[in-house]
Amino acid sequence: MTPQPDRDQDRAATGRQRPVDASMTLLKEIMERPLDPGYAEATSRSVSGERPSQSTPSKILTIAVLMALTALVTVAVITLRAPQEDVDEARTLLENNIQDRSDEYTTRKQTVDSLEGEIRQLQNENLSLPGQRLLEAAQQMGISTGATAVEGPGLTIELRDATASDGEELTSEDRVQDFDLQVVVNGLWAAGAEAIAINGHRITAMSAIRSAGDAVLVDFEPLQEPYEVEAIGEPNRLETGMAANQAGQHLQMLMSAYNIGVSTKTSDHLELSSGSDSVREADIETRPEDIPGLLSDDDNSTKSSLPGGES
Amino acid sequence: MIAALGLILGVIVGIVMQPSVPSELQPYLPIAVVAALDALFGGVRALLAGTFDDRVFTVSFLSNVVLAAFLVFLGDQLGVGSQLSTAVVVVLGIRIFSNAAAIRRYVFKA
Repeated sequence: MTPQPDRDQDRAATGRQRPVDASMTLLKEIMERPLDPGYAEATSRSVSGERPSQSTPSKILTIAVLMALTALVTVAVITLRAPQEDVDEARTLLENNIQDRSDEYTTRKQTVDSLEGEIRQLQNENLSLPGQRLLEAAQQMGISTGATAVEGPGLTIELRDATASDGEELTSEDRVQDFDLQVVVNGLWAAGAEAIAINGHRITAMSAIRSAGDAVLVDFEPLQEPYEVEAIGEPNRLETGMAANQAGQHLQMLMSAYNIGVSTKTSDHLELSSGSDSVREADIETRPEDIPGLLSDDDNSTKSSLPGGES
Repeated sequence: MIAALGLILGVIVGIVMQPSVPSELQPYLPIAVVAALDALFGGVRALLAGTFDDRVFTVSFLSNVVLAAFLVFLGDQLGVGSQLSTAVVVVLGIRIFSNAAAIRRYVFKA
């Protein structure tokens, strides 16, 4: 009882062999007969003379139907293409808007930068005439308020958002928040920091650390993670001070409970740019090396502020 | 000839009038366009094969567009609108391709 004879019997019974692709008739139909079979039938009918050539009313009907259909399709194409253009237009408009505004921002910032540089220079020139003491006082205050660029040994604390494990979204709790930075900055002040900057933004007497959505803003400028808090002061004192006060505990808590990356390192030489000291508007300056002329002004000021300078 | 005349007139009317399409009909527009393309390619192929017939072309055009739109409508009602749209687009797309290949053979003899 092998299956072979049975199959032969089947074939003999049906009288024909089953095609190999019998299960794919639908695809075969689509692939091999893409043309409407109506065309072939119509041709054979007109050849055999079964159907007379079209009458005038039927011709008009054909034209009318085709016209209506084509008009519909044309309108469909036009309609489908139209919203795309609208969206594109709106997008271009917004893009131009953004571009214009940021250009304006850059130019205004440059104006502010150059004006502040001028103010500093004039201050130095004028104050050096009545007396060195006033100038030195102004310089000292500038360090405290953040108006003067400073350099010296200090401490750098870096905060990183927790890394998301597979398939998990980062919640706002896993990110460094404005409050964390506020605590760290206040802790550094308490530990004896003389000047502080976050990601190069000098914290001045009028700086604000806030948040908008998930972004942390320092003086209304959004910052990118990782957040690098640089503080100038005696490194050892800063480190022990931070370890002892509340900010240290807060950092420990961030590390252990929220898996936020905290790294601290001391360095012998940090350079902090000057921040804005304008009263009406708390604005952040770029690093002094980015502004032509400003750094040289500062150099002049330090020279002229030296007691007994070669003049 | 009659068919070509109808098509040209239809395009002109559509461009000149530009009536706004009611939003209920919007979902059926893409499918209608694909169906129309299928009918058009079939017509051109029949023309090149010498078997073109105005009546068959008109009827296939009309039935293609109406049936395609109806299938999408039916799919929407049954909650499988996007799947049925895909099915219609796939079938019509294959037909357009085969017909275009046949047209290419007629035109370029290759």
